[in-house]
Amino acid sequence: MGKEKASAALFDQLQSAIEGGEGEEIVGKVKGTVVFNIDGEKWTLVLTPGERKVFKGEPEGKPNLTLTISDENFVKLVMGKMGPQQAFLMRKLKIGGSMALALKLQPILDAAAPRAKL
Amino acid sequence: MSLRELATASDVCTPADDGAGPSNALSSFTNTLLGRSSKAQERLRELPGVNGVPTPAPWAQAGPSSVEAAARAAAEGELMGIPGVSHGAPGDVEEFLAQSRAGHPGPVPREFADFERIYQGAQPGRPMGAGLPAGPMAGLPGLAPSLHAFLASAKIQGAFQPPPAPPLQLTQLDQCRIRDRSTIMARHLFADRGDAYADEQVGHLLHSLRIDPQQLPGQPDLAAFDAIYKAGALHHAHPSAAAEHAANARHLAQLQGPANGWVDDFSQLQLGGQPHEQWAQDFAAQQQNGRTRSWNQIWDESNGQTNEWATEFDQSQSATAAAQAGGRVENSAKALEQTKALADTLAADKDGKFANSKFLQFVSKMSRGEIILEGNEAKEIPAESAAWAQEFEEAAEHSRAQGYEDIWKHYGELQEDATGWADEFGGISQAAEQWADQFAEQIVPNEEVRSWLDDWESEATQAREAMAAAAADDYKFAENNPFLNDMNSLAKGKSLFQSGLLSEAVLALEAEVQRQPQNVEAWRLLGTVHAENDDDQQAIAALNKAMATDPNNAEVLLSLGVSYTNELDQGRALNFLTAWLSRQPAFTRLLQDAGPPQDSSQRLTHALATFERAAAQEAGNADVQVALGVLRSLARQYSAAGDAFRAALAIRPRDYSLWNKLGATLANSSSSQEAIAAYQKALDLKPNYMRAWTNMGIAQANVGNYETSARFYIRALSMNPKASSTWGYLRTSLACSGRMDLMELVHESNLDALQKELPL
Repeated sequence: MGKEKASAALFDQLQSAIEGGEGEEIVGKVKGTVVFNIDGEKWTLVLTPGERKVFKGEPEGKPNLTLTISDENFVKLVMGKMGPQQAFLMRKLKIGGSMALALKLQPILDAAAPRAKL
Repeated sequence: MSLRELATASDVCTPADDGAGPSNALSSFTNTLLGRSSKAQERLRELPGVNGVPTPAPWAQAGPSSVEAAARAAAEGELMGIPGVSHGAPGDVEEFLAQSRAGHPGPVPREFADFERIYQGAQPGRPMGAGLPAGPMAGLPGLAPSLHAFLASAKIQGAFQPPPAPPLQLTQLDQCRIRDRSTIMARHLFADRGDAYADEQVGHLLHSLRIDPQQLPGQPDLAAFDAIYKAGALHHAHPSAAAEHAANARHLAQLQGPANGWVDDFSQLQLGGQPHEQWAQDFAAQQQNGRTRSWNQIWDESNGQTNEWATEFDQSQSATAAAQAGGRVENSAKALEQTKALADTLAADKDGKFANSKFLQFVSKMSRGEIILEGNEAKEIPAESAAWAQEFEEAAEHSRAQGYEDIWKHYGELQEDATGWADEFGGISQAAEQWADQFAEQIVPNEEVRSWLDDWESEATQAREAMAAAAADDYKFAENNPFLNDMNSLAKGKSLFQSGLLSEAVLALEAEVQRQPQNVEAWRLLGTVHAENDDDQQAIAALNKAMATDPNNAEVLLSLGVSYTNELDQGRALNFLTAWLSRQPAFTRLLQDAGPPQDSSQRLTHALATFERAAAQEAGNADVQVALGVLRSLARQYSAAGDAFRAALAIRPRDYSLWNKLGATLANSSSSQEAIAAYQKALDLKPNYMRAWTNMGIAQANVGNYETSARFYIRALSMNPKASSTWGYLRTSLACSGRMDLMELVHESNLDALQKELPL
């Protein structure tokens, strides 16, 4: 399995959600390029009506929002063990760029949570 | 200043009609804390003093215009809900501070005018601002020396030495006003000496003016004052500015409801354990020294700082709404920076009172990030660890440097994208038309039913063709399969599947299909086993192989619909589910009546309606209920999906996969506790149902039992160690349960050790 991060599975889930049917709804709520910097490993979310994708690495242009957070805390954020505002106020989540976008984080976090399979 | 006003007043420089709401520094900070939801903004706007327009101060709005009215309201228990409540007695300080903000003289209640003039050293009788009506005492110049002397005595904290006052023709109303106003003012000025002392000083003043309190009517104003103070300062021994802060905070809290607990936090803030009176003293001290000017300075300067930005904002605003959004954001990010500016201004004031005040200390600590709000209290953070504030500023700097041009450019790009998408969409519909034309040529007239059924099938056919090519190499076979030379592999595979040895069953069935690639049954079984092993990708690959040989196999179509639903591939899931329905002879008539969806955006809605009719038509058909349940899950109508699965379970109560489907539906609709019971039922019926073990882990994590959840994941992995997503989920549960020490074992995929650490 290698030294995979705990957040990796959540980004896989997020990718399915955003690139799949739910993505439209998410883009309806959040638009822009969001970069998660998880312990130095970057994940890019492109959330535009024309293109929706999630990939490991940096975006081509400048992201609208960069969120810096540790692997462990990102997991706690997605799993609902910690709220985004709490994480921000406790300095566990650092926000660069659009604060308005950062405040609309919840749909993204919800989409990243593990989903029960039929 | 009341807290409410600090947080909600306009910064006096933002264009009023941009819809951005209040944009002062504290407001931005508040927004950051509150969330910039439209709901929160609405509530903020409802507050007194906030209407997006620079100034009109709170008292300019509807509300009690006199202390009497406020007192009445207070007596009726409505104090907290009255706009502009703070302009009752405790609001004097606030009002003259606000009123003296340069350039925005708001109308001031007439009763206050004289005191305000005196405070500012203005000549008695000089008009306060354009359009301000003369106060009732304006025609009594003889009064001023007495009031001046009264204030002077407060400054030196000495007893009031009344100057000889000329005989004044004071009406009883004026006398009452002087008495009441003096009392209120005195209680401010002598807050630290107690009410009795204040009243005594007022007595001296009244005596010097030859006003006999005994001859005046009762003191409703004073009663009102006390009532207001009691309401506002529940926990404070002396009337104080802090009491008003607390009252306003509670006022806010009431207006905004429990969701916005920050106000409560704020009202509960006990800085360094110091009582609020400390603030009050600072305030009183400032007042006594005539330092109101410094407040003006602060406001002027902070306005000045934002003016530059406002100009920028103005320019960008004319460009686009998009740039506006960016501007607001930037403003928001400036909150800390402006807090710092405020702190700097306060600190730079030559008057030592401010430099030493708790307020300054609080503001500057906040600006350095040394105070953060955590839970219900403000926490101090050591300076060295407060570097985040610095980072925050740098980030703000950064985003400013980006400028509006970039934002505009970005939105331009977005629009281009949208155009491209529209073109693409046009292309698709063109292709669909061509296809429809081709199709029409093949149809024999009057075979509408046939055509419509084919229509339903067509998308599945398209999907199959597209996928058959992709799937050809998609299925990944295990290496070194011991069953490869076993001629009885299909029978063995079925037997292993039934006995619950899923991973072994996979090997046997793979061996079978490697020898017999056309064996639909083996491929279908293989797909089912993979699904139960929580591997939808391999399931899809196997089922596609089955469909390539037998496109009309209903079971295969339904299983594909389920697996694509799990993979959140809405389009394909819909294709296969509708294809499944079209293969059911019982619904031919129903499909004919339903007709095709109006356009592609209506497909899901149309399919839902059609499936619901089908389920109603054949109430005893479990498969239709299952398909309906899957379709509703796809549409994320989880509650309704649960109903369908329950209906199917009523017909097939021992179908473990249905119990799992019901559980998954419940878990996805935030009923994880019920889901756990449903999964347990599935596991009772099929103990090695790996998918249900994994789902159980997800449900346990959903209800916060992270370590229990890890135990379920480990059990699931013991059945299928190749399930990479389950390994990933295990990591998340270990991270949440604080078992980072086990991560190394996960890295090593050491299931034996993990099972010993976390047995079920």
